[in-house]
Amino acid sequence: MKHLICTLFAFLLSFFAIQAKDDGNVLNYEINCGGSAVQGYSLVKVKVTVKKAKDATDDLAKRCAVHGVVFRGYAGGQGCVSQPPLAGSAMSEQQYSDFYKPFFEKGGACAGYCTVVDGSMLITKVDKQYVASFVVNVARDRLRKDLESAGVIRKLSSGF
Amino acid sequence: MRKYLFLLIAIVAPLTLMAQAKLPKLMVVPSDVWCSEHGYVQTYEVMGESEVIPDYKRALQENRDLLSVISKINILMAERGFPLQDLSQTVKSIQRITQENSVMTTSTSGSSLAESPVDRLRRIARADIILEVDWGINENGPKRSVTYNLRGLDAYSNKQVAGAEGTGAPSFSAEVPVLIEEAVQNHMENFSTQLRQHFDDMLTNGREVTIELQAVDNGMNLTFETEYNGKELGEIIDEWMHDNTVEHRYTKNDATENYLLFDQVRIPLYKTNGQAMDADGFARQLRNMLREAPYNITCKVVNRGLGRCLLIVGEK
Repeated sequence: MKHLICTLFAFLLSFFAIQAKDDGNVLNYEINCGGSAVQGYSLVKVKVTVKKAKDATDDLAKRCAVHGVVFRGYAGGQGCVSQPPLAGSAMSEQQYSDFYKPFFEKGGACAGYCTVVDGSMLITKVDKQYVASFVVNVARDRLRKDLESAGVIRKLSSGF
Repeated sequence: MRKYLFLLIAIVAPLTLMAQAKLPKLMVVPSDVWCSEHGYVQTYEVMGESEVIPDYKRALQENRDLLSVISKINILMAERGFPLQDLSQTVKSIQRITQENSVMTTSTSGSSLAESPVDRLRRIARADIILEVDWGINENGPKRSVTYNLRGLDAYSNKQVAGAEGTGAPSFSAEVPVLIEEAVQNHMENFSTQLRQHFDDMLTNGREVTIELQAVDNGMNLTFETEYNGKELGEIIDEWMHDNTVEHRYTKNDATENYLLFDQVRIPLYKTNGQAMDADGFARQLRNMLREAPYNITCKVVNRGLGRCLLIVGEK
């Protein structure tokens, strides 16, 4: 009986450990236009929801911003022009998961395509969670070219 | 083993060549409204009616904003691996060809080149897709903003295949060229996404063209109701269209005993030999069918642009 309880306990522990690890990679955010940027760049505002205030890092903001530019796009308004997602649809994230999984991991290559605007972070507590907002400057053209070279998004001239 | 390798290369090599499709030609031109507003138009008398056409040459020589807009769009498209034809260079090239043709003579007999008024009329800048750009400056007190409109028009079907338009944020300080530049760059991503969707559709479903057929009134009594092996000529042409269009997509828009109009005709992008296909090439295939037995009909193919062709049935 003792063995059975121990096994069950060990199984549950490992299950929660996997869950916790997965939570680290799930990006929970909203993306909006952050203003007009110079040629080849997109200025975006991301609102990231985290459990602890210390989790709202620049790295997380960068991952969310690049993810949003690639898979979600954002609506315009107030002088901003809406931008479509670079990948065309969110389905391509699953289609090319071999590429995107390490790309968007903590410390992944995606962080190299953007910078967080200094002093743009604002954090507020909402219920039991924290919502942190950042303004991030994403090198959209460079990102698109590299994703095209990697073969995960299609070039305008592909097929010809 | 070596024999098999050569055989494999011999099979694969032509397929690879066939798969290399031609990039569609794109060119940016100012819209008719913009040309008219800025006075870059020419007026002609055509059959008693005055016809106003845009004067691109003068617009390019006199308007700096137009040059910078065209240049900006060219740069942004080139960055996407899609270099555009330049309007100013095309206009210059057409003018040079016209001048050269007017003085050119053959060395043997000293004859000048045969050139009909239609030939001269046809010598215009041609592109598969025309990017028509238009913008206007809005002033509200000290604030200025730019309303921008970019349309991608398919020269084959005359349909708008991509578009981006909107008014930018008003500014007190920014200069007009800066506002225009900002508008071009902000709208390019949306525009190129729509263009990509159009290309995908074209690669899957073929190019869209219009084919007209007109019987000649030459006393031979050949109409589209003339019967061959129990079938009317119109029916035979209809069946040929069904067999030769991509996914059998076409619309018989009009049909009388002397006239047939097929539009939304989806033609393959390439002929069987890998050569690019246009409305003219497709109509020539139909002509080839009609001049064979049992029909033995003489036809004349009249090219009416990239996407429209007239087949005169019964005589050249």
